Amino acid sequence: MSCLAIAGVSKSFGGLRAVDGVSFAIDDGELVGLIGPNGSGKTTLLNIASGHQPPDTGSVLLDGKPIHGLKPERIAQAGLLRMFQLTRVFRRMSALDNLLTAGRALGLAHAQAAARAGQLLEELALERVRDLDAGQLSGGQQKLLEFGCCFMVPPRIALLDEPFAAVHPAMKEIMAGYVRARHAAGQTFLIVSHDMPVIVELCPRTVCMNAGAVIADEATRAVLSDPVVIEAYLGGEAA
Amino acid sequence: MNRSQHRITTEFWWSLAFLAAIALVPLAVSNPYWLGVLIVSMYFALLAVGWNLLAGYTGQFSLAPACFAMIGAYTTGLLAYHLKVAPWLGIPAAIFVAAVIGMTLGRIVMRLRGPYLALTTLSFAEIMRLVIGNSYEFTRGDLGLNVPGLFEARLAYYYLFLAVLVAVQAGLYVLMRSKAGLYLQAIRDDEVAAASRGVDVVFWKTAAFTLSAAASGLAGALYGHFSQLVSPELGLLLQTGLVICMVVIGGIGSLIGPLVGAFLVYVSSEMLREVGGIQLIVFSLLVIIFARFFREGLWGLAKRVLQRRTA
Repeated sequence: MSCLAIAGVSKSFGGLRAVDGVSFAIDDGELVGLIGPNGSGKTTLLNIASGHQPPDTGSVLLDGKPIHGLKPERIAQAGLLRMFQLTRVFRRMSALDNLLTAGRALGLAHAQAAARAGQLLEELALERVRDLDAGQLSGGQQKLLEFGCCFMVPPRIALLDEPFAAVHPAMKEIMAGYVRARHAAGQTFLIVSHDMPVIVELCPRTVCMNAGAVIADEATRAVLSDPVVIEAYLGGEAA
Repeated sequence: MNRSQHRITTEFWWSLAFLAAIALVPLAVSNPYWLGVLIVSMYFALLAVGWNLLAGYTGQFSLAPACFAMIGAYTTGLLAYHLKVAPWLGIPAAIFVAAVIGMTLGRIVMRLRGPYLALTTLSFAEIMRLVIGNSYEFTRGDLGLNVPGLFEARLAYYYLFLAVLVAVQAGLYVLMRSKAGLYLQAIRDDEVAAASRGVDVVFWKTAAFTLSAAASGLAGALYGHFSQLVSPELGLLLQTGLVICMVVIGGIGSLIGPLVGAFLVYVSSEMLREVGGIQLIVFSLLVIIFARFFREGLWGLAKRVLQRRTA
C-alpha cells in the first residue's frame, strides 16, 4: 500500500483547470520531486492534499484511507504535514514556541515537546534565535523554522513547497542535509522545487506537471531529458 | 522555564502585586464615591481581561464585550425580577447564558476576519441591545430592572470584585501557560499555518469566544447586583470603546496591561468628568498614539524602563 496515493484529482477555478486528472502514488520511504513550470498546478495539488482546498473530483489516500474533504488539522493529525511556498510562521511567538505549538498540537506532552524542540533547534542551527519572535528572524531562518515544525513529530509524509527558494546557500545546505538524513532514516517526502540541481541531487524520482496534468513520472535523470518536459519548460520544439 | 513562560509569569506576579495595592486602597480612601469608582474600574477590568483573551491573545477583534456584560446582567436581573431567583444562582446562570451566546456568536463569525468580524460582532451587539430595550413588557425596556443587592456595605462589594478579579486572572494565567496559550497565539498569528500544524482552529477559537463572553457575563452580573439597576445602557458601544481604550493603553496581549489600563482609564475619566465630556476625545487620541507608536502599551513602556535599569 502506498503512503500517499493521488487518484484522478481535478480542480477548476472558473474556466481554468488548475489540476486535471492527476494520479500518482508515493511509497513509504520515497523522496519524490515535483516539478513543472509556473502555473502548472503544483501548489494547487499540495493545497488539495493538505486539505486547504477540496478537489472537484478524485481522491487522496493516506495509508489507504481517504483524506480529501478532511479539514487541514485532521490531515495534519493523520500524519501529512506541509511547508508553504510563502513562509508561514507564528510571527509574534518565539522560535521555540513555534516548535512547541507544532509538537503539542500533534499530541506531545510538554516535556517531550520541549526536548524535541531543543534537538531540532540544534540540528537546524537556530539555537541562537530560540527566544526571538519568529517575525524577527531572517527569511531563511523562518523557512528553517517552518521546516522544523514539520518534524516535531515525524510525519507519515512531508510535503515541502519550494523549501529552498530565496534561502541563503548555507541554510539551504542545512535543510538539504536534514532532508537527506531523514530520508536515509526512512522518512517519506514530496518536494516541490524549481531548483533543478537540488532535485537531481536529492530525489531519485520526479513527477513533472504541465498545465495541470502529469506529463512525466520516472527516474529524475530520465524526466529531465524527456523531450516533453524540456518542451514544457522551454516552449516550442526543443533541439 | 523558557522565555515566554518566564514573561507571562512575570506579568502575572506584577498583576497580583498591582491587585494587592488595590486591596490596600480602602485603608486610605473611605469616600464611598471613590470606592464606587474603583468598583466600577474593577468591573471594566474584568471586561478588559476577557476581551484581551479574545482580541489580544487570539486575534479576534470582537466589538461585543459590553454586550455580553449586558447579557449577563439581564440574565441574573430577569431571573431575580420575574422568578425571585437568588443572586447566588443568578450569577452562575449569567455566566452560563453569556458563555452559550458567546459560543454561538463565535461559531457564526468563525470564518470572518478583521473588519468583517468587528462589524458582525458590532451589529450583533446593537441588535441585542435594541431587542432588550424594546421588549419592554419583559425587560421594562429603557427603564431598566431593579435588581437586589448583595451586601449593605460598599467595602464588601469592593473585596468581592477584587477576589473575582484575582480568580479570573489566575485562571487566565493557568490557561496561557498551558498548550491552549500556544494554540490561541498561533491562531492569532496565522490561522492557516495553525491548522496545517494540527491545531484545531474551530475548537480553540470557539473556546476563546466562550471564555471571553463568560468573563464579560460574570462582570455584568456582578455589576448589576452592585448598582441594583440593569439597563440596556450597559451594552452601549461607548462601553466597548472604553474597554478597547483600556486594553490598548494598558498593553494588549499581556496579562497585566488590561488590568492597569482599566483602572487608569476609568479613574481618569471620572476626574475628567468635571472638565466636561472630553474623556472620549482624550482616550481616542491616546489609543491612536499607542496603537501607532507603542504597540505594547504602558506595560511595554514600563518593561523597557525596567530592562534599561537592569542592563
